Amino acid sequence: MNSLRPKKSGYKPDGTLPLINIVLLLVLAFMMAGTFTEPLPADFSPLLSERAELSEQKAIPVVLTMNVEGTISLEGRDQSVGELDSMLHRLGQSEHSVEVRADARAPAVRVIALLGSAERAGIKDVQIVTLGRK
Amino acid sequence: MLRQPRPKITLSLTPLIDVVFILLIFFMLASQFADWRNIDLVPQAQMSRAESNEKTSSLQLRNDGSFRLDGAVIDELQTAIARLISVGKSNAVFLSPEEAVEIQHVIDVVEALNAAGLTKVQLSEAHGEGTP
Repeated sequence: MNSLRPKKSGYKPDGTLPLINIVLLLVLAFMMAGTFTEPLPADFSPLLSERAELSEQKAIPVVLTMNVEGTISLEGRDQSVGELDSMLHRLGQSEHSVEVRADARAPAVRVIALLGSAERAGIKDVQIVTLGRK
Repeated sequence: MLRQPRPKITLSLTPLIDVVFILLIFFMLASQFADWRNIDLVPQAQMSRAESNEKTSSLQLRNDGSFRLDGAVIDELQTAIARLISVGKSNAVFLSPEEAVEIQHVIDVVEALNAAGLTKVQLSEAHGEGTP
């Protein structure tokens, strides 16, 4: 009977290996599913829509955020009128696309004025983006 | 000659776990899962061409929630949509909100127009008397 017993090899399976596997899988899931974009301001209430289409995955767009007062920011920094104009002209000379993420309570006339300025600056692809309604 | 017993090598997994946890926390904090979608608006330049060739309508969104369609005041959006459809679904519609109108209201109107089959919708910067 003794010959049927497996010989002791001295190897003890480490109990932390399954934990590492699960955590690595979580890391992979976050890497694949998430995107690295500028975080939205704390009191930001995003635009919602039902029929809007999923954005095509094109070159990484420049994201302009408009808060409830109509102030425009790029990468978390508020833009003055002069800064915004020069930035739009720079973008108009390149092939960048622009996404406008406006607060739902922002004045519509400000958003439309921004879209108009971007088009006049020569930016071909300017989009208002929204989140889908649940 | 006696062979020395090999020293037992133990591999500590603690630093690996630390690094993996730090990576996990980094990705959890830095990733965003928001599903941003495009609003389907006809570009301004294309609408300008349409304006010269086709009939266009102007729908003004007023501060009090009512509408002004080509000068006529209308209370309900559905009435405005019915009138726009009677003119023709392929006509271009310019939306011009007044100063205090929120962008969410404009987007809701764009969606209602698109749902009714009016797909040539553009936002107009003019917000005076409802003319594009």
